[in-house]
Amino acid sequence: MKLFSILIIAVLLAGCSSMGVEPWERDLLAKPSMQPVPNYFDNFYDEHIYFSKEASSGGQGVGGGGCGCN
Amino acid sequence: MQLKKISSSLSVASCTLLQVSNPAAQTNDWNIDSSFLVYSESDGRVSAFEPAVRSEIDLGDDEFINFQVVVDALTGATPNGAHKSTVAQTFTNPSGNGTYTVAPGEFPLSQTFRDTRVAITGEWDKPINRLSSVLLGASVSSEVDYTSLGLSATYEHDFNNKNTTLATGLALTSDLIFPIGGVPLGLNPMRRGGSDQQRVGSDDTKTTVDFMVGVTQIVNRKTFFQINYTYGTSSGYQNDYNNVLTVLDPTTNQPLVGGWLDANDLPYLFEQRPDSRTRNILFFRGVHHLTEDVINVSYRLFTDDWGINSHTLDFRYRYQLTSKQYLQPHIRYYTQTKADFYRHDLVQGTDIDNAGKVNVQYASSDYRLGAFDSTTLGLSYGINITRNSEFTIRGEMMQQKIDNSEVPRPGEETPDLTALIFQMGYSFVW
Repeated sequence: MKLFSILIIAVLLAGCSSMGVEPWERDLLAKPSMQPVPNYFDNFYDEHIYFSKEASSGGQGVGGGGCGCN
Repeated sequence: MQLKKISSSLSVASCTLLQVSNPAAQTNDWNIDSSFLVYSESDGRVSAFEPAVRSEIDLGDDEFINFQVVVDALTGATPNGAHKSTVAQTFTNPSGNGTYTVAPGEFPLSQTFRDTRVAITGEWDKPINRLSSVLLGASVSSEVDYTSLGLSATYEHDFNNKNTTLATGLALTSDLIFPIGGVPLGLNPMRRGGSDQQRVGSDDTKTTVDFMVGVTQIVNRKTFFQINYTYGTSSGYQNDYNNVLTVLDPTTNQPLVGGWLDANDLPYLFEQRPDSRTRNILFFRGVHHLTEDVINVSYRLFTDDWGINSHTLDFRYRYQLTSKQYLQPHIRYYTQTKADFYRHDLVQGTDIDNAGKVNVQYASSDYRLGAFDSTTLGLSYGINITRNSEFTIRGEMMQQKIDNSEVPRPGEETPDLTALIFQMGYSFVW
């Protein structure tokens, strides 16, 4: 899976050069609703709840600390 | 809730290419984000009340510092790992002093507990140059039987006219576990309350390292996506010290009586998990702007060397009621396979010989390591009260459906779980 994931990211990086917008076309992308996580605490609480109740966690990034809830 | 700046956030690879920078700014504004969560499980199980506040200071030139404080007040009862039986079952409290008895046919839950956790985190988001930045984080979390310390660093670099961001991050978490009453010896019997509990120390440790690499790509004016790969390892004490497994007498189908158990042994063995775990996670998120509404969808593939494979699909549709108000339905679906060492119980004569020697290296009956599906449905409402303040409210219901297909006898099934989630938040610039 490691090799597969790195391969995907490499292919995406190569293919990414044909995508994108000009600086003056970022109006919609800059809206709060268009952020990866538009509501910080929605995501924070969800991560905490599901970390406590499921065997899987993580994926969105690193950091944030641990707890004894799992 | 993002106000003036699209902030990076804990546990989320931020995405500088979506930010609108203002290089000359020196604002010193404080973005305050406050929220509280009420979480309540059915059948008198866990309830949590969790207020939190996060303040982000805008230092100008795209540099930010943020601090967060979360208090997590928990109460309720949790499954102790034993399964239902046709006879009454008596267990010892974690401290080793008291006991509690579960009636025949009842699902064994540990006695009501209370715990309060306090977690403090801080982050420093520092641009290095026009195309790259670093996010440094530190965290501390403390509760009655657990302390966690964490450090993290994420580096981001923009390419392709700032349409592509490559992020890479490393996090180290060091945990100290102080089981109430001492550390029980895995795969050894729970002892009667008040007798010698035969604990093997007062504390133990766990270390977790996570490494992530990811890419965020703007596709066009209305669409971007994000793909992350995370490799994580944990080593050290990974047991839930409150969890036991039933030792089953196959002739009576009831917890073992007598045999190799001595007078102070109960027919329940403390669980034992491997002391290392390796995780591989692939995460995808896509965000698309319709005419006014926004679709935010994510998928996570998780696999580890404990045998757990899971899929998580998350879908949010932000329906813009007016320019200042929105409704957001949310659907989340999760499914996982069981860990290789997940066991319904340990059978006398097969898993344990007549002298009490346990023939398995690892075993746990924690239902969270078993196979189950979980579905969450929710709805959020948000309103911008002023230009720089927002109020949000959210209600959700989570349902875990446990896979009992391998339970050998009817009546011993692990019950499904329903939980209600209510959250309210207010954010403003100060």
